Amino acid sequence: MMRSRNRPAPRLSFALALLFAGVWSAAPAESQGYPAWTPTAPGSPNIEVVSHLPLGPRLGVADIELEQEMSRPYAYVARMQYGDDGPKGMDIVDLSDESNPEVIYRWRIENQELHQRTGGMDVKYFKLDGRYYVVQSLQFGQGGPNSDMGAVVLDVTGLPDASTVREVARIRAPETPGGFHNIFIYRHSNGGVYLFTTVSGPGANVYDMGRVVSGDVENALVANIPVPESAEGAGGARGYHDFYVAWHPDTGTDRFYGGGTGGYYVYDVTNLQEPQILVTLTGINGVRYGHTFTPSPDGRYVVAETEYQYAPLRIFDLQPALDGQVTNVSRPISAWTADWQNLVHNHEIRWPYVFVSGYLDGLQIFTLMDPAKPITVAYYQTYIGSPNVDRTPQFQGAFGVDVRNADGLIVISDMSTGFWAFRMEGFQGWDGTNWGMPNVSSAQDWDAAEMPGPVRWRE
Amino acid sequence: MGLHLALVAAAFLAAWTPVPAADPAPSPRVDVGVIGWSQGADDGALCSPAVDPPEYYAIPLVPTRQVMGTGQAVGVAHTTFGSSPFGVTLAADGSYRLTLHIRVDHLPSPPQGRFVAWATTPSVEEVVRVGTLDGAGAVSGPVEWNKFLVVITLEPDGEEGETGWRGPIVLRGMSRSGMMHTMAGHGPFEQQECAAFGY
Amino acid sequence: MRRIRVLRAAGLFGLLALAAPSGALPLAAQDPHAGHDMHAGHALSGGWLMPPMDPNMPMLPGLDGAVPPATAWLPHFDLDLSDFPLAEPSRAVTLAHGDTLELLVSPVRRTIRGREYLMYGYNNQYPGPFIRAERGSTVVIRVRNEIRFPTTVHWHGIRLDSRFDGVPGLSQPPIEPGESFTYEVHVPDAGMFWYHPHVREDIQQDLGLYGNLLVIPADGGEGEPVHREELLALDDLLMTEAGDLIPYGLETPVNALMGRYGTVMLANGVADHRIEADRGEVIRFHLTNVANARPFNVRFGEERIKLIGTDVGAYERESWVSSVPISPAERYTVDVRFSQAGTVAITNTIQAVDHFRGVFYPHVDTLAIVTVREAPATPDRAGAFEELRVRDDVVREIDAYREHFDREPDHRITTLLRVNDLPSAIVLSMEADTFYVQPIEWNDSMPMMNWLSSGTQVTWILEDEGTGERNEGIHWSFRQGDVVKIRVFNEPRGFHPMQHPIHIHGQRFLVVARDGIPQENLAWKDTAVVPVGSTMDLLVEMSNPGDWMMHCHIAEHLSAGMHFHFRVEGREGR
Repeated sequence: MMRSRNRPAPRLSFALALLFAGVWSAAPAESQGYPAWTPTAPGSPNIEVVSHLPLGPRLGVADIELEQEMSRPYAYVARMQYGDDGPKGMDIVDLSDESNPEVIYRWRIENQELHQRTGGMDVKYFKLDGRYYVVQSLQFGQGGPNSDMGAVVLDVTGLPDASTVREVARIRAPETPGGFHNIFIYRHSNGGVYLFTTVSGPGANVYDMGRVVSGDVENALVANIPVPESAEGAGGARGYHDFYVAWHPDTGTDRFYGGGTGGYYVYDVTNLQEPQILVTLTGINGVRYGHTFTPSPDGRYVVAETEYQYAPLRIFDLQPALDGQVTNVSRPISAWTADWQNLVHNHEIRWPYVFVSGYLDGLQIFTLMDPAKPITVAYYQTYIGSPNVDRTPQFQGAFGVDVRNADGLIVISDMSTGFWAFRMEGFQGWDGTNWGMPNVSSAQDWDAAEMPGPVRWRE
Repeated sequence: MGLHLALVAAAFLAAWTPVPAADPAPSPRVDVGVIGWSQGADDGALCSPAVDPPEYYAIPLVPTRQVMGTGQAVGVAHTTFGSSPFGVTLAADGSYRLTLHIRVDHLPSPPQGRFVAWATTPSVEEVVRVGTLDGAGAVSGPVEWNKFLVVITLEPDGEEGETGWRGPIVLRGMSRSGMMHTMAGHGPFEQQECAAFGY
Repeated sequence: MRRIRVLRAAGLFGLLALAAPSGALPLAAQDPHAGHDMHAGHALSGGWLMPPMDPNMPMLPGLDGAVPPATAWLPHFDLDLSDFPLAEPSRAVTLAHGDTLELLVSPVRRTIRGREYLMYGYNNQYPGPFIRAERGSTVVIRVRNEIRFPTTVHWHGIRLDSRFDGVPGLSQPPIEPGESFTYEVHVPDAGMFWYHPHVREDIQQDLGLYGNLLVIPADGGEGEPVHREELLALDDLLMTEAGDLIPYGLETPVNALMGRYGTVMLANGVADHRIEADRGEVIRFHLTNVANARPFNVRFGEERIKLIGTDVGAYERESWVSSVPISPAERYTVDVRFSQAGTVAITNTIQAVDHFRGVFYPHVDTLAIVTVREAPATPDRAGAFEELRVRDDVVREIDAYREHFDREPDHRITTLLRVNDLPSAIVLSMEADTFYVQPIEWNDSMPMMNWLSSGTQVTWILEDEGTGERNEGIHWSFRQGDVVKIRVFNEPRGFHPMQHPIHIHGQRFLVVARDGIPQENLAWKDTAVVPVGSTMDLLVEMSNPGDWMMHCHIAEHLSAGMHFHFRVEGREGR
């Protein structure tokens, strides 16, 4: 009997979810929703494949970013070499014709054969003073060139004319060789645009992108968000693996949500030079090092990922901590997994939906309409193959995910099968206010004349 | 003893006589675990099959598969200390002064151009030409860096570049010291591959 | 080739950049750990002080406040500094055949960098008396022990009667505190030798018990093209930035993994050794590495260096070298002509490793300063200095052994390490560290982990490949006159491998090949270093009957087991 990779035997799923999630008193990890996929029916009926564009060798693709403006239909796909072959850089995919995407520009590190380790990892875009830029994070090892290089910044204002793309800056972090594994771009309430980066050292670096694009990259490192001293192993490690920064409407503050050493942390970063710890999520059963960590638009709930096999996504309610009743939260209110054997990777929240790039489980979408009972609502297998035998077995398949708020286009970057675009039935776009939430997501409002504030978001 | 050595040497030479590129049969003479045989090397040439370079510091040479017909090439660069009256050979700045012994097998004879070996600092800011691979795919030469890359390129005929390669990279390798990475990224602080998948 | 070196600032965010000096430092600023003494003044339990650490190196989890599993000890823990006389610089003493020298082993008061320390000395001198003797003579050294430890004197490199070799339990009983022992030292070879204890060298030698013994040819060595000779005994002391000596382990050595790498460099027992010379003066330097563990790479500024000899005599051919890499217990004799007036720094010029950051960086310690006066040296020896002589006598002597050079080894030794009960943080960190081990550890980049390892947790091993026996389980036996080839392989794939300066007592040997490559310019030696991953072929002339030791000359490695003995039966069955 063929066992569903998407829907395991209920009893085993239930037991393992309990075991590994440690949510003894909460709801078990959920994955229910649709029948199992098959090679001829790889997705749920409510998922439409808009397009698929293979990009090259196996294990050659990393994260993805989708521009939000409909007039700029461009996706940026990080290119890495995790397998035996592959480029190290970034591809720009033109989605002017969604059903026929086309790579219109390729940035590659020079002498890429001589560069150690993976190359392009995370990728983000931003808009500043009317120009559009893309930041490609890079990771090169110390045995080869550019081990101190964390990111390259390209001016992509002139797209679709690829000849106008130009390199603006290279951000280097010689103090912490090994590059930037993850990045996040945030338009801060102070008006600045900041790049938050992981580094092979304590804390997260913060770069003022205004300085970077104006040529003052030497002085662009303006802040460092620490890992609390109490975090186990803090001090020398890559303090954070991943993070998210968002406006918190209730308090009118900028908040940093970081996953890394010892768990997850929420900081008030309204004053970047003096970040204030607000909430810690440590002592979580089964969590030693946090990965992706994303809040709901109002900042109450958080979805926390750990990059361990068998680990589900955990959903926490921060309200007791935000109310000052506790300072640390260690028990999730629920958990979700696509397949207990695997692990999921990145996710994007468009409340109540959570769009997941689930490695071997492809695109997964679940709803947090009831945060205590997440339910799978759609999926599509972008990788139909076996786990790796020559690399970490589960690090294969859907790596990154992004969502265009204007029309609900969903994109996936699959490590081996390349670029995918989808639409989900009934999801024609996202505006938080339609769901009784602030309109806060990873998509930034670059053109807002005024910076957001509590009143505006509650209107 | 001398005759015996000569016979052994002759046997090695015969075993490593290059096979014409047109010969489609795979060469049975390939043994990358054996030190490369080098003739006319610049410094400390290996002129005895008894040479026993440290395997620990051997540099695997990995094909880029950018040049047609070279994807199956396998190579290794061994290092020995340069000639010196001391137990270890150093350059004036304290760097190790090494002799690279490069050997590549399964390389076809290119219809044009030559395979040339280079050494370069990890930043590729400095490059030295080790030399042209001989008919057996071997070449030796000195290098005075503690961390470096070895690059085999296909150089066009008639272009004697000394300061850097112009042709495509066919194989490359990293000195063992390249595996020395910041401990902030691995070891007791984080379980992470250090130099596994760069190539 | 155009060489561009880019020194990028080092240091984690918000912390001090790691100093990466590219030139010689002033003597007053030569402490490589200046400013890095994170635990200075912080008394740890049991009187321990932690060695200075690079501030960029984070404290390993669980090791904050940890101390080695041994009793901390320094001489002033037992004794009052003021009760002892101030030691004096070494004085030369020439001994004729049959002469006797009284040699007192006692605590002494030493001044280093302006601060007084209670240390040890021979005849209240630092280094011990410089003994000159004529080749073929026998001199008598009467040793009295007035320190708290048993001691002996080992006459390093001298093919003397094994009863006087100074190995406790093998050639003599240890000289207990308050007792004496008389050595009859016969010197059959010309060369620069040295003497030191063979009991807890990690303490006694490090505290100052060492001296040189120059054996001159019967003709007095006249005719050498130099103006004068200088001794340079190179050493290092492990101190905090504040100048406190780091205690020793009383029952067992600490720093057992790498040996005790010091933070303050000494030449002839002082941190500010100065030499004066005339312009054009040619000085013959006799270098001896008396450090517990540290190898040096000695340069004389930009002056040319002519290599003349090593442990047990001259090389076949004099040669120009850019520097002199010298391992513990090795000696090298070099001629240097100081061509221009001014100052010349004698330096230890190395590429150090920062394991935490995974980088090499240039590092320079100033060992001594030579002030060169304007006045020209007379006579002018420039012409003779330029000449590289071939020592036909050495070539002829070695010729008798060349037939053995290519033969298969008679014995094969592999160097290994075993550890037990080391803190897991150290084990994990060391395992990560061994992604790459360099051939020679020129610096101690992880002083805390090294310091926390003791001789009870670390066993350094010499393994006989033929029998599988290890250390004192090895029993080799030879007959006088045997010529024995020993191949030493430094196994690189174990836990924290490291170079080993291998010393063979009572015999002399030739290093005939390294990594299978024949050595081109030979000289007789008694100590030779085998780098990590390398093989070294020694051709040993078993000329001297008796029971002898072979061991690593890193003091802590020796104490951690890395030794064995062998017997050479005399022709008369002696």
